[in-house]
Amino acid sequence: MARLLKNNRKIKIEIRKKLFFTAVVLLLILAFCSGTMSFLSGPLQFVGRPIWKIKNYSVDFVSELGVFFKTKEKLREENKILKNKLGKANFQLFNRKALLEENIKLKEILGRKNEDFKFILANVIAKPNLSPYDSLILDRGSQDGVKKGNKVLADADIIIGEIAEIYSKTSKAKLYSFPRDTLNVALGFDKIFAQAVGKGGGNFELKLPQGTPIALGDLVTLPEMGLLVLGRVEEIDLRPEDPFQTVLFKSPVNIFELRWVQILQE
Amino acid sequence: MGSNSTRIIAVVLLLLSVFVLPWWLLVIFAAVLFFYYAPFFEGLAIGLIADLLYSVPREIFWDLPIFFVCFLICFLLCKIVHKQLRISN
Repeated sequence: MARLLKNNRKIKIEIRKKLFFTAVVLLLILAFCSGTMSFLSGPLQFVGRPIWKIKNYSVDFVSELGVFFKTKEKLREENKILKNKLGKANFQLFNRKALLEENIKLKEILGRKNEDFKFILANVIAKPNLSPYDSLILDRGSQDGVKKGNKVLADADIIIGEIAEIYSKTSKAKLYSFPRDTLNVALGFDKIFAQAVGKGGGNFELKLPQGTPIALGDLVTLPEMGLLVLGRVEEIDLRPEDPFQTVLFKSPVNIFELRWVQILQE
Repeated sequence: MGSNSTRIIAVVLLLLSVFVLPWWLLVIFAAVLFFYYAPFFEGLAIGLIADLLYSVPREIFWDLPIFFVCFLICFLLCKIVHKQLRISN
């Protein structure tokens, strides 16, 4: 009888422990979703900033060490390939600058005011591969004039996301390519409006009716920021049974290798 | 005492991994620790820390903390496995 009572008491204690655990878990999830725990993000970012910087420095150091183990012949070959690529890139840049100047002059003729953009250069201290959130942590915060909603660019004319959260010395940028996030875009020279869906890692997908004039290599931009490129069409999937064509486009930069970005101050 | 000190080292390593390792490697590492040190409550706290560090407001997954939920599933699965192992032993 005493043994039965003891067992009953043990079971009751077990049930209470499980209920308590469930209540705590639910409270934590609720607190997180409602944003009550957001006050902890600032101190965590403060702690994380030196750790991320040490990690990035170590990765750079180790990759530079690798140069010592490459043979002279390999280095010479790599140098030649890189010089060729640089030459082509310089030519394209020269061409692009000329086109940009012409674009600006034509807009002035039409009475469109050309806005001067101000940028803040920021170092990417935590890349998207550290979390499934497709976010970047940058080393510029409210002290540097960063504001929520500021656009984030790579290479000055490729838009990748916007600032979602700001702390005193760091900020969090959310990338537009997060899976299932939707975005209004303009496609190609004719600025065909469509809604793109993020696929993660700088990749997007959108659907257009079959027969819409698009081609591989067409640029995709945001409607309100015509000169900033979001991506380039990489693949067009056409099926006879489907009245729509699936267009896959991708950011021209590899977001997993980003080291520097520009924060556009509006 | 020995197992306590290794547990503390494991917790510190897991916390550092949040800042250093890719997320999929972090989840694997955490799953191993959840199994070895079941019940590993510290892992749940570290999952929440990871979410606070990296999360941004999202429309999908009902804005749930992804790491915390994954680690919670690991925690519960490891607890069930341990219970089954104890019963079979």
